[in-house]
Amino acid sequence: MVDFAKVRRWQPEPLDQAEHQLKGRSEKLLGLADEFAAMGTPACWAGDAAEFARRRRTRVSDRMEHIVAGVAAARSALRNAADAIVGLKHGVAEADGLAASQGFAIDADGAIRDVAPPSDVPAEHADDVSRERARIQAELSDRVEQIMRRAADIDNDLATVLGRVANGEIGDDGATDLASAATAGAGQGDLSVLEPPSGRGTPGDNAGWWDTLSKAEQRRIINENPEWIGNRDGVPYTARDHANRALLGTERARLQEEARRLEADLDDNMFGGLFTNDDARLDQVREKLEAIRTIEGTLAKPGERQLLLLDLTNERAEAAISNGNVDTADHVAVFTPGLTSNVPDSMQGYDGNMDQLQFRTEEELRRYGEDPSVATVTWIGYQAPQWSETIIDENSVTEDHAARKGAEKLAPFLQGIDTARDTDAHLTALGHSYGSTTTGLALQQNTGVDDAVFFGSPGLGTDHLNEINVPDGHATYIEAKWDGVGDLGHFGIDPSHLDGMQHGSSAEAQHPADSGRTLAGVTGHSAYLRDGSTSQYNMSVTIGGMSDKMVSGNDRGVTDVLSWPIPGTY
Amino acid sequence: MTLRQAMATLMVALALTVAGCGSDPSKDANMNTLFTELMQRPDIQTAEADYQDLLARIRDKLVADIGIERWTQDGEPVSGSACVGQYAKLGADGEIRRYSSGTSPGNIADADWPRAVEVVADLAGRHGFGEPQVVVDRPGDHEVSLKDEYGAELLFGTAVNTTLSLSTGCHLTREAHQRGIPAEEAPLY
Repeated sequence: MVDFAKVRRWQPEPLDQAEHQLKGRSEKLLGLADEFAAMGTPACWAGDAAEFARRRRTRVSDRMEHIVAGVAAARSALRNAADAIVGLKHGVAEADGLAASQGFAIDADGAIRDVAPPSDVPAEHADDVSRERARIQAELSDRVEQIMRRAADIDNDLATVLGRVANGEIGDDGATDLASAATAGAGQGDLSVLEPPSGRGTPGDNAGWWDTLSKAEQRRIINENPEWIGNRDGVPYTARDHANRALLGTERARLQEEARRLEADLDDNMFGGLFTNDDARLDQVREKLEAIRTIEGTLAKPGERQLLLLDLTNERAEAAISNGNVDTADHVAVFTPGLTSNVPDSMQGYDGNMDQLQFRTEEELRRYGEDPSVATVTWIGYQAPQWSETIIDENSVTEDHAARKGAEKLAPFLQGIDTARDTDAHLTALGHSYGSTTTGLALQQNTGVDDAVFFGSPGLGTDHLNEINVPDGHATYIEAKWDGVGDLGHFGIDPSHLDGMQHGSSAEAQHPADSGRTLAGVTGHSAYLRDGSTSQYNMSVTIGGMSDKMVSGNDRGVTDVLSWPIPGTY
Repeated sequence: MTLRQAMATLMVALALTVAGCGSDPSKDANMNTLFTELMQRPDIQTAEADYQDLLARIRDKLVADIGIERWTQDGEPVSGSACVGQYAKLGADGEIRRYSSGTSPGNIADADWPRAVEVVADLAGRHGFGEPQVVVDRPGDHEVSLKDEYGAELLFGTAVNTTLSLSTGCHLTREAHQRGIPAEEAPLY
């Protein structure tokens, strides 16, 4: 097996040259075929010798057809392998470029070495830097693994086709002339498209795999196997968007068919759904059809949107839609809502909130002379608890089960944003209510998130802010008056009392005092995203990387005093 | 259910009830009432033509009268979404749009700012916008907000650059406006 250093030196040109040589010979053979056919058997020649000559010519023709088919297969395989190596070299360049820019080296055997760790890192940022370097090193390792998998695949595919040519195993599909034989042979020189990493794959695996594919292969996957990449974190979101939009139509047709079948079964059953799950299943199918309708309606609104995630395999539909382009925006924010959120009922409203937030952030950046490039994402990528599940279901809002399951999917989604891009975004995670618990749990992994804003939170899944992996001073909590959920402290202590947490105001404010910006206050649990509010403003300046402009404030009420944890007990 | 679960359920239910989780109370307004109210407004496409015309005239006059740099578009000039707040229940029938004018590079001097606001207020006033409300007003950093009867907000500001943007209130789509009644739910299958 070749090593990484050799793969790094692979070039498509020698394969292209070999293909050109074969092409020349093949064309010569095809030209001779015309001459050979024209020679034919003279019309006045009869007898044994003439018959022998005719049979001999037929054998030669058949032999030529097989040779031409074999040459066409070899040419096709060489051409495809050259294209594949162009893709492979792109994958290598991505890995080498990432390594070089971040002070790593990729050895001949593919091992990753940290050769230039940043010096003079202040002690208070040492953990942040170490965590970020570990993330990059893991991504590089995954990328190298995928490059080697791709290299082996190209090598095997090409060797297989050439072996079949050498062994005369390329058929001409019964061709009766050389041109048809060439066409038949060319079809047998196709190389397989390498399937994605098994399972969900890490973002590094998925990015590494995708980057080694040629543009033609990537287009083929979007058209023929969109389900491979629609939810694959690490694959660029523009490609995921194309794939997921393509899936909407096929999934709707499949679900409509299933709904009709279930309805017919229920109609035919005198007990209805009493002894089967058909009625419950029909409700789920209807919910998913409604979700598809909501998604299509949301995507149809003015402005650039991307369908970043579409998963119809669970009880309720899951989806994520961005306002703006996640692959290119300088600033990306991912919002995770909480209790009762689901795609049919919640997506359009939250998409409106996120559109406003993107708009406000961009206008703020413009005014202060910054590049106004922002994308905001509504992520309903988990089975958020519903009221119907409050009491007895394991997905109950009183348990962290749904949040933990959600965090398992949110963390790689967040990781995938930087992984899929050439340059990292300034990435902000927003979490509301139970969604803040999901976000808090996700951020306990190494996600590359630069800022986090939690609001109206029943707890972040921890009692200690140092378990939330964002740079020091970049975790903000906003709590409004009369928001009882924010004082529950049910999933870890009340975030109002977490040491090191920044506190953004939700009250009516002038910022800076007297001559500054006038902002509206909000109260209760559900108004944090209201347009023109202090809380929305605080999110917008954080998303835009201007958290120094945030309105600080801790709008504590009496319940916050009651929720104060006793030192030493947590 | 464990005792802990029961306690937690009770606490969450109580907290959410007090806090009004899930939706604004205002969302309970009747759908037909909201639709009838929005029938009195122009549909979103008509509104867009008027607002875009207003923005274009403000931009041109600021360049001509105040002498600011020409405007440059640097992103998506129009975005939009379903309505939010009390109008959210209109679903696909309602729409909000947001228009950015990009930027006019540079700051309007503090001394020129009142005259610039006058220009904006004069033109916006003729389109039914109210008096400018100060959002920010400090040396080198100013912004005013003007609102109309449909809930549109026009923001005009200057700091490093000068900006002008507008968010509409909620309007019916043209199709909904022509239909005149809330859309019936199309069959799912």
